[in-house]
Amino acid sequence: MSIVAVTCFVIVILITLIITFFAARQTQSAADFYVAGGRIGGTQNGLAIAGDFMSAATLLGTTAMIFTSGYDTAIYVSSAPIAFTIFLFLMTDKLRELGHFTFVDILVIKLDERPIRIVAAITALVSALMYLMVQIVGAGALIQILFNIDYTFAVILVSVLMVTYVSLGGMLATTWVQITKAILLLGGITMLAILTMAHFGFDFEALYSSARSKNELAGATLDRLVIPGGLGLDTLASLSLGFGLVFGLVGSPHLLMRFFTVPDARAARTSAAVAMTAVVYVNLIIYFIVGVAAISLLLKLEPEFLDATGQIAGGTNMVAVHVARVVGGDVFYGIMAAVAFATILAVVAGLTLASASAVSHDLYASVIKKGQATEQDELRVSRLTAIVLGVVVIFLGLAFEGQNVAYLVSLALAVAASTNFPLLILSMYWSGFTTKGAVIGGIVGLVTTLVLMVLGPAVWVGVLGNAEPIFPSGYPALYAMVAAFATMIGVSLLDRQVATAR
Amino acid sequence: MGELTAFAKIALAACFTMFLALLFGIPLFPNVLATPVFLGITWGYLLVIGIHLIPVVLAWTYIRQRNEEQK
Repeated sequence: MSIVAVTCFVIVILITLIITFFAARQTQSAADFYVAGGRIGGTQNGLAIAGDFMSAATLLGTTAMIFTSGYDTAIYVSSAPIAFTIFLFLMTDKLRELGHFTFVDILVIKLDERPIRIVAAITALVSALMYLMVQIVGAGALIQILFNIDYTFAVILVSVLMVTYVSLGGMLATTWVQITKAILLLGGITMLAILTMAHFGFDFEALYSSARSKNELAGATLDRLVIPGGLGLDTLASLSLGFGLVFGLVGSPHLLMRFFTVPDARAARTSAAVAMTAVVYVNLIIYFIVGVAAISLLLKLEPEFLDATGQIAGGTNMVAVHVARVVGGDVFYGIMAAVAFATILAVVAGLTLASASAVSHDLYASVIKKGQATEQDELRVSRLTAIVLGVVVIFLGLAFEGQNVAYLVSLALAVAASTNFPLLILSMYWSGFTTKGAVIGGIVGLVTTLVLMVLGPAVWVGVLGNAEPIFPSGYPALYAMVAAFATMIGVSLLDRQVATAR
Repeated sequence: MGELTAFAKIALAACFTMFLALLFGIPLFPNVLATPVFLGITWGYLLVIGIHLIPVVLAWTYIRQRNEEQK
C-alpha cells in the first residue's frame, strides 16, 4: 500500500466532503437541489459536463481497451466529439428553452403527462443505474489494488460516498465535485503525457517503435496499433457499437440534466463547446500517448505489475495507473490513482442525482402526488432514492466484477440510445409524435435492449456462466434503436390515422 | 429540422460522415485505414484526429456566429 496514494485519496475525499458541506447549506429549494437554481455559468457548466462525462471508462477503460484491442478503440474515443456535436447543434437551445428539472419535462410539453412520465422515468432510471454499476466496478478495482482491501468493501465505500454527496449537497455539490474532478483530470493527464513522453525522450517514433516490438514479443499476429481488427467487429457490430455510444451519450439523463443548470441558451451552447474541448484534449492524450505507452511499458512486463496468476495486477482496467507508476514513480502513481478515484466519484454523484430526480420529480411528485407534493416531501423522496440506489449498485458492482469498464459503458449507453434518445429527439423535432407512440416505443426500446443484453455474451456467458450466448452480438444498441424508432413512428402514424378516421 | 442554421446542418453532416467512415472502415477497409499517408501517420490515425479536432473548430465557430447574431 502506497502512503502517497492513501494521502492523495484522503485529500480528494476531504475536499469533496467539504464541498458537499458548504453546498448543503445553500440548498434550500427543489430548484436548488435538482439544478442548482439554474445559476451555474457556461464555462463552469462545461467543465462540470466534462467532469460528468469523463468516467471510469474514459481514463481506465479506454487505456485498457487500447492495451488489449489497439486501433479499434477509436470507436469509443470518437463517439464523444460526435455526441457533443449533436448536443450543440441539435439540442442545447431546445433543452434550455423547454427543460425544467429533468429531460422528461420536455416530453410532457407535447405528450400526455402521466403515462410519459412513468415510462420515461423508468427508462432514465434503468440507463442511469447501469451506468452507475460500471463506475462502481472501476472504483472497486481501483481501491482494491491501491489499498489491498477486499473488492466488496471497496464497492461499499464508494456507494456510501456517492449517497452522501447527493443526499446532502444536491446539484450544487455535484457540480463543484465535477468541476474539481475535471480540473484534476486535465492536470493529471497533462502531467502523465509529459512524463510519458519524457520517458521516451520526447520522441513519438521511439514510443511507437517500442510498442510495436512489445506487441511482436507478445506474439500478436497484427500490429494492433494501426491495423483495425482488435475487437473483431463485423459491419453491424461496428455500427451498433458506434451508434450506441453516440446516441447513448446524447440520451444520458445525467448529461441532459446539466443543461438545465445554466441561465440561458447561450450559456448552454458555451457549456457544450467547453465540455467538448476538454474531452477531446483528454481523449487524444489517452489514445495517442497513454494507451500506446501501456503497450510499450506493460506488455510482457516485470513481475511487480503482475498478480499471482500472471495477469495485470487489478485487471487490465488498471493499466493507466500502472503507466503512471512506471513513468512517474510512487508519488505520481498515488496522484493519478486519486485522480481516477475523483473521476469516478464525480460521475456517480451526477448519475445518482439524475436517478433520484427521475423517481422524486417524475414519479413521486408528478405521477403519484399529481403535482400536490410539497418541496420537502419531494426532497425527502429524492434522498431516500439515493440511499436505495446506493444499495442496489453494490449488488450490481459485485455481479459484474472484472469486466472491462469501457465495454460495460457501451451496454449502459445502449439503454439510453434506444429509449431516452428517440423519445427526446422525436418529441423535439416531429410534430406527429403521439403519446401512444412514445409509450409503446419506449417500452419496446427498453425491453429489446435488456433482453438482447441478457442473452448476449456479457451476461449470458460472463455473468450467468453459460457456454454460448443466445444472441451472438455483444452490441445490442442498433437493433434496439431500430425497434424503438420503428415502433414510435409506426404507432404514432397509426394513432393519427385512427384519430382522423374518428 | 427547420430551426437549424445552414452552418449547423453542414457541421452535423460533416462530423457524422467522418464517424460513419470510421464505423464502416474498421470492418470493411482495414488495410486502407492502416496505409501510411506521411511521417508514418496512417489514414486511420488521420481520421481519428479529424473526428476530434474538426468538431471543436466547428463548435467554437458556431458559437461565435450565434453570439454575433444575438448582438
